[in-house]
Amino acid sequence: MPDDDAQLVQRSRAGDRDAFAALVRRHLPAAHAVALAVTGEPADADDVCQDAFVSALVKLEECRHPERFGAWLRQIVRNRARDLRRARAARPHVSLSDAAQAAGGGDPSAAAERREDAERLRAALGTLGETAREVVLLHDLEGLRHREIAALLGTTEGAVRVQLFRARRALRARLQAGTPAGAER
Amino acid sequence: VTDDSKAIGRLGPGGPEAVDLSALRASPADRRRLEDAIVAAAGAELARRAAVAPAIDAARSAAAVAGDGPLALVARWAIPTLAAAAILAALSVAGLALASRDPETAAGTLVGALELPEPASTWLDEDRGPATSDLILAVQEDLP
Repeated sequence: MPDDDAQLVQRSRAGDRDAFAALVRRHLPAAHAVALAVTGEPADADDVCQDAFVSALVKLEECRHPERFGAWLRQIVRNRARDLRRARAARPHVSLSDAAQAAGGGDPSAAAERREDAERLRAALGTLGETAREVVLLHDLEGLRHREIAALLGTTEGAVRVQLFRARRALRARLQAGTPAGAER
Repeated sequence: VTDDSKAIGRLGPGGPEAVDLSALRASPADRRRLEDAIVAAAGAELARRAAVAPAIDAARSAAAVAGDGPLALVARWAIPTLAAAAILAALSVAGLALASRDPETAAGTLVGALELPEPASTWLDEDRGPATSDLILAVQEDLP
């Protein structure tokens, strides 16, 4: 039986590398979806997650409910991602999705096509609200269930279903119509 | 059919109605690399924690041992005693509050409880000092 979060947090406090690695494996998918929902950039989401996990470890004693480590971590992720987004807004940069590039493998045309798809999705996602982005990324990208997303966001399963339905409808409409330039934020 | 149609309507991990977001998904190898990078970045903090953990454990053990010593015994004895004292104090305050609400009744009760001689209790009940006639009466009552 796998250790629960409270046990893993306890062991991580004592510097147990395996326990911390288990926390990372368990919570990275949802944390990454949250970061991606805010930043819109897979590479930025990677950076945010790394920063947030290390920050969480440094201040692990502040986690008052270790059994709810995931919720505590995601709040750190959300705050870090918002900080990064503000910094990006103040100092715009050229968007290049490293993850999409890397996933294209050695075939340049496949990589280019994948990068275009990623840019189109990123732009369409950018037209949604932050919560709608989180819901659709957690469900359709990371494969979490409605019940799990409801627990993560502190809402009901029914509310998640409604938000997901609306987010998908809006996303499809944007993708079919072609997302206008500059509609990403 | 547009290029965008490639990005919609395909099966994704969220079920048949899911929007295909696979272009945004990191490969398992990339995800694994990110996990390793996070754990590596946390290496210094994990090492620091591992170094101080024995000292923290020792301090906790010492506190646990102290918990069975004389101080703990005193504390266990003192807590119920203090609780009893607090209850008595609360009852006393309540009694005083009730008595002070009706001073005449309280005085009468006090005079009755002290069983003072009749003239003295009369003076107290009427809230006055003894007159000469009262003193004569008192002296006469005491005579055999």
